[in-house]
Amino acid sequence: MKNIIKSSCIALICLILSCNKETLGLNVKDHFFLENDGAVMPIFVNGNTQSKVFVIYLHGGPGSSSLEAYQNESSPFTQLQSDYAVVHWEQRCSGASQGNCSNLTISQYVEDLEKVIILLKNRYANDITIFLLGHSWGGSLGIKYLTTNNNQSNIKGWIEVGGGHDVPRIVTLEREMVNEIGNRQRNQGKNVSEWEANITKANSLNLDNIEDLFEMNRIAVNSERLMQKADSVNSKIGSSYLNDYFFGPIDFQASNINSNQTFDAIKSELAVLSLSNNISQITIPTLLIWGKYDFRVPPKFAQESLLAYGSTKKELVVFERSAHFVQWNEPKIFYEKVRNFIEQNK
Amino acid sequence: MNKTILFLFAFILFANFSLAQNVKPMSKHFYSICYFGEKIFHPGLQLSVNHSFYLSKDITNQKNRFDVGLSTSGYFHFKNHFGLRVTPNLSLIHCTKKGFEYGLKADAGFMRRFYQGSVFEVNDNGNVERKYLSGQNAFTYGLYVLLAKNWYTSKSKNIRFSVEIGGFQETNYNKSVLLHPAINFGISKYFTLKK
Repeated sequence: MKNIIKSSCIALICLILSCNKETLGLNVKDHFFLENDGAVMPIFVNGNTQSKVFVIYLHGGPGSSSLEAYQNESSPFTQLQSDYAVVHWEQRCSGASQGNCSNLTISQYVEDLEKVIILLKNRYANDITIFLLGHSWGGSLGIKYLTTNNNQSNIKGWIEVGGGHDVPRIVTLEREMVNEIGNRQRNQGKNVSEWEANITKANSLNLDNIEDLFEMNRIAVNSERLMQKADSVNSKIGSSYLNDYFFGPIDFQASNINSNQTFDAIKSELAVLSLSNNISQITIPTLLIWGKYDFRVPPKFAQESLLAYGSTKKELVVFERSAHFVQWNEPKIFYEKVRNFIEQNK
Repeated sequence: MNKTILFLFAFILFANFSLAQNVKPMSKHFYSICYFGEKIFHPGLQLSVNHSFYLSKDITNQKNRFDVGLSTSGYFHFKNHFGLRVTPNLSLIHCTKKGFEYGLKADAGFMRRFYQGSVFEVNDNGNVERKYLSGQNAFTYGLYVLLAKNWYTSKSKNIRFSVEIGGFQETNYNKSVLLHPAINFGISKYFTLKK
């Protein structure tokens, strides 16, 4: 009897130790942390891991969260999850991330992402196919990652959504767009006084000054709000806020503190961030998705970027009723475009 | 998670029935078992031992008292962290003749948050290592409004039901303070003296 118990225990221990890889499934909800250089970053892998196609969502900010509308059924990511595994990685000092908030530099974020990919391969399978989907700041991070070392060899395709990878150029285009569309709206009698205030303020800013540069961004945010008020932009799909507050993984107060700390720490580096020269090095299939009324990263910037990408397979899609958050403004079309791109390139 | 909350409620209710005895006389020491809800729905449990300092000699006819105690509380913020607090506390309580109590409770002490989920590290050679019991230490302090009903003043039962509403703060995380609104409610039982 003793021998049976002994051998059972040994077998059980061997079984536990041998289970290095997670079982792949159709509707997986996995959750674990990557600890790197003091930061403890949650990684949520949801959906169809059996497809062996993993879409890593690089959220914006910097300092925002990948868990926006985490529990929302209308989210395009919820739909994508039935086809592929969607990886919601909370970057350091962002969203539900914990631990130390030091070392907030772009190269540190790149190192974190490199380790996220090693961890995913270790946890699931070495032969998984990975796509990167970067929104806003996530666009800059994705480009920086893809142009560092030999990282492109890990990634099958790159999806940039309203990516802000050249801040000095973007703010100039923001001002142009506020003038152009603002004047048109004013002539049509829509929100006249508010557009006049936006235009006057935008034209008075010195964009070489870091505070004015971020003020320009606030005017862009306000302009998007006006376009939504004029019914040219769909409202963002709602998130189940209370549900997330009480039962979700985010602590909203910590998330706000994270966001403010990150912005303060990185804003001088962000103000001069210019990766336009790097994107010619990107040769993997690339899809650019932009909102027609994205004042924060104007679509004109997307057209310039499209020309600069080194990829032979590249496409720009502009969504007619979207602003900066395309994925929340037109989730259905967003899902279709992303899915098609992945199917063509996986 | 809802099942966990229900289980904790049931546990405290059961404890309430099992402790409701007619026993007298009582000592000045009591212990408590409470549901501890960080942001109400992040469920947990609080255990504490306390000593009462009465301002009048007759325990069953008291008006004001101080309680000092030591509490251990733990709660789950699912997919985020498990919080463990060990805190000495002090309560100032006014008690009516019918056994209703109200007052203020303050505590301060040690807190550790354990990350809720597997934590991995990737070393410079690209090897993945799992880290166990990974977490962060913090200093914590809290303040609560306390409402209670005791049965020892009117019916000579040595139990008391209390609700504490307030919050605690956690420092050393995010280089800032984090406020955790919290509620806890449960029962206390006074130790009995040998007759």
